[in-house]
Amino acid sequence: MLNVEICIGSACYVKGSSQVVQELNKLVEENGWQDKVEVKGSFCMKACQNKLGLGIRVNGKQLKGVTMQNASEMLKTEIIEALA
Amino acid sequence: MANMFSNDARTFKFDVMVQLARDAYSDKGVKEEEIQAWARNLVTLGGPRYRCCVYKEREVLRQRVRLAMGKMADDAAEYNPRQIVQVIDAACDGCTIKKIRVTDNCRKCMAKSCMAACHFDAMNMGSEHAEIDYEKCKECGACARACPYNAIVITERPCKSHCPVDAITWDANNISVIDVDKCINCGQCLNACPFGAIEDISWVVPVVELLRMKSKCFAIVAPSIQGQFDDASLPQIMKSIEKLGFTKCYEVAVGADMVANAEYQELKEHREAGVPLTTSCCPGFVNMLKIHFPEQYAKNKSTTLSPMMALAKKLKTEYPDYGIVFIGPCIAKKQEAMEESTLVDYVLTYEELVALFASRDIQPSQVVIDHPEDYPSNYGRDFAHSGGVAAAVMQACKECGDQPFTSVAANGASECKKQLLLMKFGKFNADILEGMCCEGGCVAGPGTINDAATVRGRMAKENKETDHKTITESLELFHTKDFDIHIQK
Repeated sequence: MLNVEICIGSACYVKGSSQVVQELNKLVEENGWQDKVEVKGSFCMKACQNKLGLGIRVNGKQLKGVTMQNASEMLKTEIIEALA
Repeated sequence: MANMFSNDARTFKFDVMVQLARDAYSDKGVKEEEIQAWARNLVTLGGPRYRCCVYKEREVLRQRVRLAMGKMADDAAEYNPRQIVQVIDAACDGCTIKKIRVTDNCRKCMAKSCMAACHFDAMNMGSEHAEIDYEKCKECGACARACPYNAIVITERPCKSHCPVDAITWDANNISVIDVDKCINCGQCLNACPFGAIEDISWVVPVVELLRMKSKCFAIVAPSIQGQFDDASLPQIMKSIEKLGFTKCYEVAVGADMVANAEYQELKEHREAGVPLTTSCCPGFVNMLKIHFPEQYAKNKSTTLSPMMALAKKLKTEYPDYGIVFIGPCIAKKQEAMEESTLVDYVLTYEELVALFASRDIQPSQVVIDHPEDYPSNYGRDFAHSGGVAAAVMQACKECGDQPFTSVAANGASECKKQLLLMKFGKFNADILEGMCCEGGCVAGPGTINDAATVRGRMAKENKETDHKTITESLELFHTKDFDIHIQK
């Protein structure tokens, strides 16, 4: 099971991270990943302090430079790569 | 539940919160357009009407929804986690600009004691009644006191008159503006505004989203939660909170026992040096020190963490991958936890908690308790009342067989300011100053849902039945005796 954690600490929430959760859920549905990908919420993962953009981890790997605009695309690429 | 609040504005706030929580718990999640569309139907052309027209009512509600979703009330404002208390500009009535006014009680009498009383030559007799020359008036109120007909009234804008730090002014359109450099987020203005035009930013949505995704998370509850939910006992309330999705709920009174002990240790040093100590638990009071009395902040302020942070530190040490949500009566606590990254991830008020309960149909008084949990001392729980912190520190002192000390409990924000002024000028003569910005203590906080007197009675009744453990016994029970809770200066 691929573990995708999205930070819903206040700084990321304000930037729109809960929308990313909704987009990710849609992505999972569209690609039929329901049995392969688990979407989880996380408390602050300090991505904000380390200037990494929105806090997202795919199987423990911290993504860098995620914004609301590129989140969906980046997640798709990362998940496909991780599942391969 | 609909009649829980004394002010209709709070009922609207509650309704919005419940709907947001329902959406956040559902599979579809929260969508701003949807919740805004839903909120539009709370006010219709037929009413209810508090302002000029339905369009204004809807604009007020729209801003309320934004705050409830964790956004700034003003769309154009940049997000500022430091500023919890915000003005909903559409809701502000722009009330009572002139502090002193002559009413039609004036009989144009022969004595004209108002004119005689005015030292600034600002009082004239007009054709209908006495008139004030506002260019000259210094708002001293002498005329009002002199009038035998009570024809001159002194009314100050409620938010402004309740602000202990003079942080409220108004713009060219008479709409209240909060000076963010002065504001201590105590929430006195929010309580005072009869239009509900000042509100706190809320994070119910992200908290529910985290709970819904089963993130590991503890709730820690302030002592004043006891007695907030009608007949529900404290264990029932805590169990109800766990039903929302929290892994476990802890009493912050555990942290309060730790603080009582740590502040007593600090007090010993302060007493030796002849420097009075100020308490650390009330974030409004700590803000007042930090912003308005920086010398006392550096010299007198206790370096012990607040009970909330003390317990959070203990829990994070043992369970580093758990989130922590504090639930309390306090708005300034939101700032303490959220201004920057701290050990506490989110803060909710009781007002928000009751909305969460309503959204899940949880009734705390109906919840069954299967087995009793360990609990802290009554001294820790009494941190919720004015005088309770000093009393607990005194108890810690007594348990160590030390000499008793002297204390002053500053009850309410203006009293806090007064005592700090005395301290600033070296006229404060006690060993410890307990500061609480809400009059009566945390039980009277802006985020409470029941009146302080009722809650105080219920707490006393429930706590009479405890095993009356000492602070030392509590520290041993929770293994907190040697746990360091000092802020590194």
